[in-house]
Amino acid sequence: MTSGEETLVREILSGDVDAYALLVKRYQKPIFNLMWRMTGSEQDAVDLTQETFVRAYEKLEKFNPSAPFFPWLYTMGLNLARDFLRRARRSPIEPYEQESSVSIEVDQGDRFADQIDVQEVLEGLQKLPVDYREALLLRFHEGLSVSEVAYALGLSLSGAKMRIHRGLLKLRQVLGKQEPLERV
Amino acid sequence: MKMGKTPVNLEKDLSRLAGLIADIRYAEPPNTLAKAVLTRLEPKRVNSFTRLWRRLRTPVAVTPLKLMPAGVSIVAVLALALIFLWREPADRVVSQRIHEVTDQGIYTVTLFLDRPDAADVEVIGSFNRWSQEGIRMSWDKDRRLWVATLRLKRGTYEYAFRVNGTEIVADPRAVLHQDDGFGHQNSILIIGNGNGNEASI
Repeated sequence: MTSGEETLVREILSGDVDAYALLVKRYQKPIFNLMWRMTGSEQDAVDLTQETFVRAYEKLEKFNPSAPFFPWLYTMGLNLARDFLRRARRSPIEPYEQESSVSIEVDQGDRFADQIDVQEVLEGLQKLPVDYREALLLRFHEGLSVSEVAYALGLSLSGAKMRIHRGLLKLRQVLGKQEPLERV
Repeated sequence: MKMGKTPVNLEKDLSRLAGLIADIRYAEPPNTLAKAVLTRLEPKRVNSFTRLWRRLRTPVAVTPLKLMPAGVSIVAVLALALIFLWREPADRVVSQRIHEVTDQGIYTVTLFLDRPDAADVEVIGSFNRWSQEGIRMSWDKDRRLWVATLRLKRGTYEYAFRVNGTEIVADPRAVLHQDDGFGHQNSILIIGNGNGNEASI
């Protein structure tokens, strides 16, 4: 758990609502971006982010203060976003085929990695299934450990490792299908 | 010229992608978001039992530096307890406590008598030639014993206690006794090797 968060959580549970402001400010950005990725709407993202933090506050008694807070919050946010989309009868933005196999035989040339930029990666992530996309973002953007990714996404440790590795392969394949190398 | 990918190149690609994911810049949420969340929250109400339970479950970081004041306090409390509560058990009281205090062979001897019922106790003996004026003992209320301290040279002495002016009793804890020839027992006090000259107090 991030330094001091356990104390913060205990203070909140003891009635110090202002202490919760620190947790909101610390994690509003990744939660807001999660919601935006899920819904594609800034306003929905704002509403769902607020709802996530309010729901987490209401359920804080069930949270183990010595456990990492962010994966727990993230799980809650992900579930809220899915419920929202279900109610709205919308699907998460995931045009990529869930069951597609991953090929590592794609001929992309030696300079593939050097020719990809951040924007292309962001666009490529949006084309991945939600579970793969979020695993990659949690692991490499948020810097969570594999076990924390596993907790946040409800996976086993080996399942999380596989999800991350396969997510990278899928991302590479997606970017390959966009044929970024043909610009050379 | 395009070449087939090797596992090494694949790993390089994946590592590069991971680095690019880390470099993604997230959109900033509206400045009002945190405030909007907080306006919807009420402080949690905690009853006394829950508060106590949480406090007990809260881990406390312990370092040697933090332990030092507690350690000093514990030692101080124990020392005070020893000072105020310790009583020399009666069965461990030696009747004669002897210390050499000078190079000339003068010893400090302390005699004890366990008679809390007595109003007055004196020591009489060969060191003052069995004078009727005994050496008055004082009542040590902490140890609940009658106590007298004598300064004697090395030698062997006989003595007894006179309780309440009339009752002659031998020292019940003395190791050696000697019949006084009148049906009573005198206690024996040996200082040094017992060969010194008897001396007055």
